[in-house]
Amino acid sequence: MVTLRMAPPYPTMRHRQPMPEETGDQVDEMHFTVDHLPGVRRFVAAHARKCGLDEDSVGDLVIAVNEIATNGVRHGSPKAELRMWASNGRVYAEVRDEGHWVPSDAGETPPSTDAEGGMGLWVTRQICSAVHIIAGERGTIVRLEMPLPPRYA
Amino acid sequence: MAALELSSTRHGDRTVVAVKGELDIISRTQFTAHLDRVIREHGRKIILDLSGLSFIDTSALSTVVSYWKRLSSTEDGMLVLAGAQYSSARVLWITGLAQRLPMYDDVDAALAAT
Repeated sequence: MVTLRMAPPYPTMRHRQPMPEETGDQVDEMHFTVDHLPGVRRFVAAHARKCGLDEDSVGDLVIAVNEIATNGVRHGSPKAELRMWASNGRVYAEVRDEGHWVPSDAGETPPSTDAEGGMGLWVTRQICSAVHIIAGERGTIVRLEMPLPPRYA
Repeated sequence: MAALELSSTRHGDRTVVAVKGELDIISRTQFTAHLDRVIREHGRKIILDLSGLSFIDTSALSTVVSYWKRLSSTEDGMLVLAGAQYSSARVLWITGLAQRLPMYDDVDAALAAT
């Protein structure tokens, strides 16, 4: 008898962190295509404000998530997914797509002085306190973190 | 779709292109089409009025940089920015390009200086 085991829908994280489902935190999610990027930005701003992020950080997080979401639907797959939640004094935003768009060490060095592209990941790394990229066979997951002001932590 | 409104006004040999709304990977094609038409019809001296901008991403910023390089490479061309605000155009500052691109507080200052 052959036992069929369902493959996990997304690659396993190397450094395991509790998933929001396990901690009971509320997760907001939306599915999007390249035409929905303005909606993605409004979703991020609304959720980040609800979590208690200050206005300046809201603007920063909108930039960061928009860059990753743009990469996802441009180089990854036509449809991608955004999930946001707050936990342990941080706001998390996670973009999942079914493509393979992240080159190794991308975004770890500043763009050259005559850069005309490829700034997105570098900008994201400047903004977020942590950027986790999990590139697997079934797609790419990028998880961004930003700390909440102390009163919400 | 990102809402983007573009309009241009001529001031002698310079054209002020006012950008209102969101500039991203999708709306930048509308932006480049407008710039190309302005350059073709009115010449190569452009003041980009960003005071009505509500958002710009790095792909659109790259587009601005490439037009700036192209236009400023010749004597009869220029591209300067006017009225950019940190709150709506923060990628300009995060990337450090705010220090490299010619920037003015508003259109009047740009017109007076160019």
